[in-house]
Amino acid sequence: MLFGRKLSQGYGRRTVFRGVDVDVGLGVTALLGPNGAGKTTLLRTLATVQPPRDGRLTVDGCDVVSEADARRARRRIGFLPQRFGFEPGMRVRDFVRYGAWLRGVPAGDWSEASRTALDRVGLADLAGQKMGRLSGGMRQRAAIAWAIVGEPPIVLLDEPTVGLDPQQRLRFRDIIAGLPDTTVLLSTHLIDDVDAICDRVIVMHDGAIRFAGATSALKALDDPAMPGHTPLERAYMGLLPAEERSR
Amino acid sequence: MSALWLHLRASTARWGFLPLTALGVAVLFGRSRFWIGIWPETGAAAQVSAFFLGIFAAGFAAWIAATVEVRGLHEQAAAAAIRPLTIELTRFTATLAWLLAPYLVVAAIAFVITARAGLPPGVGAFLGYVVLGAVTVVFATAWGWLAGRLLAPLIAAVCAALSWFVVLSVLGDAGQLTVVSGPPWHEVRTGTIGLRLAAVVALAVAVSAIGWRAGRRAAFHRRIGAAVAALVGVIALHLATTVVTHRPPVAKPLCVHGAIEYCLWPEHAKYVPLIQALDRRVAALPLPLPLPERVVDYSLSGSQRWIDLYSSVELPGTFDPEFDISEGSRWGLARGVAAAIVKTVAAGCDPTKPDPAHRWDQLFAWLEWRLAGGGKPDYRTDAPQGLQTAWATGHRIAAEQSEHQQAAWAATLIAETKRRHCRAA
Repeated sequence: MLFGRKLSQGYGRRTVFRGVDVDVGLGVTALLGPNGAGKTTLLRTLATVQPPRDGRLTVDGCDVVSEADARRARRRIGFLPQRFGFEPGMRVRDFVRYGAWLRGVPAGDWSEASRTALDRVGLADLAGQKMGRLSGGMRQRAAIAWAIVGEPPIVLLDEPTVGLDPQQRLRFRDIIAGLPDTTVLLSTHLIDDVDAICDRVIVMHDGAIRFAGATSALKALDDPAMPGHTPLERAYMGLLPAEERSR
Repeated sequence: MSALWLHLRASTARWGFLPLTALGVAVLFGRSRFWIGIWPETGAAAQVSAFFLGIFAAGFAAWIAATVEVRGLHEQAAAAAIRPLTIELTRFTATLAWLLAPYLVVAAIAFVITARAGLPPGVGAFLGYVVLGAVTVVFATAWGWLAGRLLAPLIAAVCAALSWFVVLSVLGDAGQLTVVSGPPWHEVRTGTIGLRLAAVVALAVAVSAIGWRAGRRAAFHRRIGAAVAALVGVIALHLATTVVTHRPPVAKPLCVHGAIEYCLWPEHAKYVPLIQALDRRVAALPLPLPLPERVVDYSLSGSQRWIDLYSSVELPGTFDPEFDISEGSRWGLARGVAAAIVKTVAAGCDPTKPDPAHRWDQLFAWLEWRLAGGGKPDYRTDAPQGLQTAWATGHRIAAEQSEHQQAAWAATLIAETKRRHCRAA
């Protein structure tokens, strides 16, 4: 669904990653890595927000070369940035409809699409509430509804569980696990979430991909000598350089 | 449901609707009321509110444009399948709709009030002035939007409002950005107003196309440059064009026949009762005086060739004397008619011959007081002392003496003055 070949990206003179290959298929894939690894930049590149400096990006079978290609691709991508914005005075249902508009969903389908998305995230009862009055967790759910409105085949979520309490995180897992026939790539720090809902994992460090494969394959790399409480945590830590582990 | 509707429902600018409408209505009725019943004056009075509303529109627009990035909306917009220009234009349009709505409400109120006073001619001029005010509000909103793209919200709002006030003050007259009144002897150039409207709409598109600072810096700077160039173009267009010019006299003025024939601009139809009341006072003068055949409304005689709105050249020839009734002042009307009667009475006299007693001015003031119907004049004067004394004498005689005494006084004054200053008594 989402392929990147020899992708390079950066800001000004700074290169964030170079020559990265990424394959993200159907199901839920986690993008794991410490702060500054390049996860957000990779997600923005895959979301076509930031055109790659070099390399080839293919979304749902179509190469993204020009801005017009990118806009076409974005119709198929639900992207939730790490810091999502909203008008405090906007009602939840309008916020989700706004997302539908931005994704190019036909205006006649907005109401139904936003209702379905709000149902999925359990916010149907609060559809008339103003965004500015929602708690942090509810806002995050509204943001997920924004990303999934119109049922895009690809959903990219940048740290969607930051700030959620344990109950809300469980709810989030249910929401993501309940997305049918969708390619989900979520960037996270929380290995519990990866273990619970992700079929595959991409581990990134310092602009390079250290691991890409099934969650079970990562678990199999468990090294009891590594810090961590679960096999997945220890396997992940084992992929990081020693100086990163000691931070 | 449309994207514009979504924005309208959530726009911060909606909070400005009621207070700005109240401000506009206060400006409409607080300045004057004489515009009621005269279409061009009604349009100009409504348009004046755009001067004040524009300042707030610039501030609001700057705030809203600047909060996009503060609230992080630009990141989602950058990932949108629709063009950034479409997103920004929709936001701008929703903002403009809320900021323009108070002005349009003020214009609608003014329209209804004048329409209730009958349907005098000149509704086209009303629309011209209203569109001129709309151009001001759109320009102010685009101005604020540009500031909001460059500065943080609070600073942008304050800077945009203050700088727009400065622009209005500097360009207000020279660029005819706004006008203060719409007398019937002015006409609005609808073609030029249309051109200005098109230009400010183009500016609105240019500022909406700027996009977000967080995007590619070179492209952002290029679009800022394009918007500034568009802004310079709009200012140049305002300075190079004239929207209000002097109107030539109409072929068929509205004339009232009485002791004198009074001709008005057709738009001044509401002043006919005032004219008729004055004519009754002319007919009731206590002595027969030679009267002018006709007196006409200001600028209706064709005695001047107008160079621009404020300067003119007197043409050679004989023209009907004029009066000024533009703000509905019975004193202004009485002054004009009194001056015309004095001129007729003094025909053949040398007005340059010095007269320390200012006898013609005494007669003028006496007539003015009588034709105005008495009371205290509604104007102030800083005329030379001798002239003021003569006017006070004329007013006092009209106010204090009997009709018989006034007739005798006027007859003596006229005879004495003619003996001293005229070729034939």
